Amino acid sequence: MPAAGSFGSLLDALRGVTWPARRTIRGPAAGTHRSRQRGISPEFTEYRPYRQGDDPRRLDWKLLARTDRAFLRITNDRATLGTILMLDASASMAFPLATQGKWTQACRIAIGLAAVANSAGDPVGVMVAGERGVAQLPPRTRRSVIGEAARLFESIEPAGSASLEPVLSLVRPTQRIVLISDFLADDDTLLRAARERITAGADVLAIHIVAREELEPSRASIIAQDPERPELKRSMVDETRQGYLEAFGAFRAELARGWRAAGAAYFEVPADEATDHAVRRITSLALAVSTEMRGA
Amino acid sequence: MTFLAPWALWAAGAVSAAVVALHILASKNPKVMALPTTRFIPDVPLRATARALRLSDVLLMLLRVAAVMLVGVAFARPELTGARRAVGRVVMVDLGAHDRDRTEAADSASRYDARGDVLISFDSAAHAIRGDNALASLRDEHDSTLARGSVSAALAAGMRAASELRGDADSVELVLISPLAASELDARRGRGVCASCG
Repeated sequence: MPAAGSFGSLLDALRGVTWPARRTIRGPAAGTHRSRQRGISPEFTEYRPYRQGDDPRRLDWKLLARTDRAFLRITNDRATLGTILMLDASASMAFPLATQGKWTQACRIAIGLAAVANSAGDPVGVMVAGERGVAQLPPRTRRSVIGEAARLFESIEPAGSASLEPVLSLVRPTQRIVLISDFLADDDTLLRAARERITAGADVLAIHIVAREELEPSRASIIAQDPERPELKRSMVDETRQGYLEAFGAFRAELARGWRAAGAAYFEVPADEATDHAVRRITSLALAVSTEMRGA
Repeated sequence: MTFLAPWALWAAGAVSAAVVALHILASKNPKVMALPTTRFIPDVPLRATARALRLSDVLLMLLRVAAVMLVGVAFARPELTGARRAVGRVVMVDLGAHDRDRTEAADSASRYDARGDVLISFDSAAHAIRGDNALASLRDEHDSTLARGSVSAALAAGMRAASELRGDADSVELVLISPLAASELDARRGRGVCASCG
């Protein structure tokens, strides 16, 4: 597992990266994300003719005096967006056993996204579903939350067959929820729960961590054993390799289609991809969606 | 060391080569390795074997090869032989000429005689004296009836002794100790040449 002090270069590489919300949000506190509220912010957006029932305090009185027409001055408000990072610490994430590459990459991505969100003033919280239940850090805006998250990750060994689905039901839906997992332990229950959260207003991102050894298994013949179901053993030989590649490819394609259809953002991140590159990829896609929505 | 049945060594070598080949080519059951995506592997009944051109169980292989070679060496019947010398000598001493001064003859012979060499004393007949005390025997030998020395008899005995020494030495020298008169030498040399020609 990554040591708490090993994230310095990653945080340096992500300095200046922004991560806007993919949609306007309902947030009371002033922040960096576009809010649904139209208020008294100095950031002017447009004029709109006064209609009965509008708050007269938002009338542009100077314009009314000059032109004798009643218009409302519309401005954009900015709000903060709570970000919850949920990590899967099941046994399948401790693969490959020698390097624990998937778990290490999951922790590094979580730290990177937490740092980017925290730099924008957003409260960041962490929840880890492991063998011993859920370990969590409640959302905080203070800078020390990054170090606390790193120490939390350092104390956890991926084991067992935990699911993110019960963890998802613990958070408020008005937040940004980032699920970091290999999605092997969960079936459709997690997707259904996420769909409910999205419907309730959550901004959900599914980050699928995949090991290179899973994408391109070695040519050597082995007997593969599922770490979460030791009784499941199958022969990975020349005769079955192609079938495996096709089945795993179909699973990944279906997973991506399912999450995107539910309204979540889906990213597949190989365990050997540079973490700062992966974080930029995740945040820049969110930025593109946000810009697109603003234009519409 | 020589082997009385060297074919047994060749046979043991061939068996050892076969043992090594079996250790290189042996197939075995593949390793069980963790793979989280195991469920995507088609569930078909397959007997998986791994074949690799790599030595397996090296210690066991060495033990087997050593056992085979030991059996081969035993069947080859090894025989220990002494080390060969560069030069072996056959020292022929004319006792007929040294009848009155054996000590002088023994001293002359001691300049050439070494361990493993053959000492031949001769008068009208030649006698090979073997063993570590050959020179002492030569000094002590006393026979008042000694006749004039026959170099031909000495040479014949010397040639026989030389053929025996050939197994222990790369080359053999014949040393003749005798106060030959020049005329005798020429006559004997002449006879020797004729004998070798004939």
